[in-house]
Amino acid sequence: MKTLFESRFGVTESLLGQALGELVGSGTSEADLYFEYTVSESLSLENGIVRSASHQTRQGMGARCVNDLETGYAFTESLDAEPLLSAARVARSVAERKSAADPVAVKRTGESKGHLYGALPLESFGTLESRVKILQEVDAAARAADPRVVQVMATLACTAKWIQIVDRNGQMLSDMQPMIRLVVNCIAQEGAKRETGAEGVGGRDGLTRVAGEGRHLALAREAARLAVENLSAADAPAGLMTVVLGPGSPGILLHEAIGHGLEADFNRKGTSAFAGRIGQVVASPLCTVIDDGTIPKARGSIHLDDEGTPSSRSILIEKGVLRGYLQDRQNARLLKMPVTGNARRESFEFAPMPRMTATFMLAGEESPTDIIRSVDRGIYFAKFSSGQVDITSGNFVFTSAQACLIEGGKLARPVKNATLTGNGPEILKRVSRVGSDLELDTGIGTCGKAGQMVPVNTGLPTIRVDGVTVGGTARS
Amino acid sequence: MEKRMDSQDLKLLGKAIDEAKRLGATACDLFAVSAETLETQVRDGRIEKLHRAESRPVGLRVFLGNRSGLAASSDWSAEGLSDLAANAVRLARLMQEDAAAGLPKESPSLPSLPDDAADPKARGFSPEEAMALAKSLEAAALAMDPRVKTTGGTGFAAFRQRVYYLDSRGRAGTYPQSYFSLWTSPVAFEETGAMQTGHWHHTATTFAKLESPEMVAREAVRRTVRRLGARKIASGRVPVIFEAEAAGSLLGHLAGAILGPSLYMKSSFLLESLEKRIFPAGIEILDDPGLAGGLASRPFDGEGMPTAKRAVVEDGVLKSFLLDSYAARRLGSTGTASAGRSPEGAPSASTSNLYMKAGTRTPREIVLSVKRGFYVTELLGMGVNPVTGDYSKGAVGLWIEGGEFAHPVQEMTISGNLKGMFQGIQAVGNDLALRGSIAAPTLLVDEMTLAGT
Repeated sequence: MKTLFESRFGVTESLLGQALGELVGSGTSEADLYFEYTVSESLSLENGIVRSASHQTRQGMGARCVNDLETGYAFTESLDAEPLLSAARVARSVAERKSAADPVAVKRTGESKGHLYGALPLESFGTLESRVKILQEVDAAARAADPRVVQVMATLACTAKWIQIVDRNGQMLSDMQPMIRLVVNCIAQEGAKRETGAEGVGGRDGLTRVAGEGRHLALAREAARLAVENLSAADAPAGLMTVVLGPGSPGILLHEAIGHGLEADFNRKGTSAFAGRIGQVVASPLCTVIDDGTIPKARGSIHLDDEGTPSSRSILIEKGVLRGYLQDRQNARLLKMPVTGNARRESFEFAPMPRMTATFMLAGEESPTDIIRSVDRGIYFAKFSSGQVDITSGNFVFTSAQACLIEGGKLARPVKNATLTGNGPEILKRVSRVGSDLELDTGIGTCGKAGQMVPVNTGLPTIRVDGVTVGGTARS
Repeated sequence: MEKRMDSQDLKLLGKAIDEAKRLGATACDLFAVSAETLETQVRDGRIEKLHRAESRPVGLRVFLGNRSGLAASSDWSAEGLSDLAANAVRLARLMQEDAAAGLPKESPSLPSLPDDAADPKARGFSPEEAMALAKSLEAAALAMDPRVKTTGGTGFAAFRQRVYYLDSRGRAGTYPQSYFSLWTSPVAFEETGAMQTGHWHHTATTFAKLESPEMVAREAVRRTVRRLGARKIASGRVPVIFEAEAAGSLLGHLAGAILGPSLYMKSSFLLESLEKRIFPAGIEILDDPGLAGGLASRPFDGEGMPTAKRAVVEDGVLKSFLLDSYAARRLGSTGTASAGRSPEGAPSASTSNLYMKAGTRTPREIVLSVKRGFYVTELLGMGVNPVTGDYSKGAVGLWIEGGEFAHPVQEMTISGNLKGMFQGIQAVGNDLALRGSIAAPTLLVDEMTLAGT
């Protein structure tokens, strides 16, 4: 059977062999041709109507040639023979100034088995009509949830991405990566006061992921509830305090504070605050942190990374001790460490880099209610809206989307606009309790690095962290 | 020669418009870009990366009466353009009626600007010259201070694109843009082994205006080494000075609150503020799409409307929102030719070159006027609620004691509400530099909450 790229775009195995010949030279350490064909459709609702829809198709090929430390990269949006060969030539000419080798025989190593997510997305995303109806139901449910909801915005996006990777040895691998994502944003108003609330869900799955068993209606009601709750939220206090992070999306703490600092490129270059610290204690012994690209249907999961290495489950921190980094082939070679299947790229326009997939902390033994009960005065963060880290100094910051005070061991008044700041290599040393309730986030997260966006998950059980700086505006 | 090619391109793209009309579109417009990029990064005197790319995204928006649909691809073949039209029409049929949908009412004619309206040097920029520039930037940064031992990334990029706009009323226009950029992130070490970095870059629309590698290196190193020894300090309420680069981000938050969609969606903290004094008297803010050398200059907007300079804030009073035609109809107002657009999406209001006019005081005088306060050099995170104006961000900077810089500070947050922060501006520096498409001089805000220990 012909590959998708051969039947649709005429990219034959002999053309691939020729392109590889142009790409690979005698000093080449890593090289690949990365083909992509992506079809996406997105619908959005605002002001009570599904007013806009967009359809996008993209195809292209990125050629990469690495000669030890140097990388040449070129891409083409045309999959015709001449642009393909020319991109391969340009990529090689940068890193490898010697003449091109002979054509390389291409061996199809096969399609991915599709064990993590299905391979028939176009039908499983449902009809356009059914997706329009879902958004209309979201609008109705959010408005019915509370009369103070004055605006509902929702976006439903479906993407099917086919990739084919040919590495320097002529091994050809392919995968189909589906993605669906529904995000609902509500604005509630009371008098002159307005607040927002947002909720979303997504994954490498069909329409049932976002609308099965009325899930979209529950999302709409939750976004409405959060917006209304924020109307009565007080300003957050400021200063050093004890915080409790709830299960699920607050795992962005691990992503920003730890995960980025463990990407192999920063460590190989010595610009990460974690560089050279493998084997050292970087967290409390209660903490074991994992990056796992093999969770079925999860947003961050991949059968193969974007160099063709199978995705895997890596232990980053084990009982507080730093164990490993997230690798791509080039950095694994330079650091003399095993590849981990974490080479990812946004699209054919970019060279791959070490990136996270699903990053989470393993569950501990305590009950979440006991953890909250252990705090006399502090803040409970149920949800963060965003975060950012300066990898070199290790400084990070997160902003709350849903938080409340803890008073006398009980959840009390909601607070808004709470920011949490700290230092990556220090923050997990302050974890004093870990709950038994590990949850993955709902699958709408996107991570940005050097201008490239890739889908990821984060996860966390309930944890208590002592002595963290919280920024708020309340006057004490 | 070039001119003839551009008109050929416009004619080619017109096939998508023709096909959409044939399929029943009552109106449509197309936005396409043909871009060329050369980017290089160096490390330890070697080329770490050289990236060459050409891309040609094309997007079509169609209307079937009050219904609209969008399609985008990178396929300029006759078949590809007719698929584009078919996809956009297919989606539009299933959308709900939207009374505000449509092209702008007016249809002024559009310019077709020749290649030399941008710097021709950006086309086919020599990889050797690019690599040499990046190498000399890295070498300059490493030579400037012994504590700087490496960089987190040093590079140069040349970028050129041509923008095309066409609509179903027979209008067509095109213009070129070019950019050149140098950047570096020096990494400096403390004796303890702790590291600090300070990113700096310079971007210009012509190669002749690009700062020299030495100038970029000097500023990058100055910004990096001044962070060495940074520590956390006690929480409190203090005056805050935003260094010009950080002050620009405050104007970015203003921009978010005065753009069409945030207004008709009622998600702006400045919803009721038109003609109200939102800054102290004397403050002037302009949006100038015609600014010579401006990084966001554009002769017409994403809906083919000719652009013009506009006072956004005059003597502290908010004088104008920035609207695309859809937002204008939703708000019952007049458009301001502010539609930003990428081929992949629908037009939506955006700022062009937005800046606050310079004041009269030097940054040094402003620092001297503060007894105890926080001088913010970098901000971290996205802690702004656009609906309420609540503001809370991670901040790095210098502590001021008795009008002098005492020591660097990090792992702090600063919080307030943008409405109060705007009103609380007590001094405006004379150091406006239009380094980005949004820029402000040094600003002193009377009081904010600082959280640390």
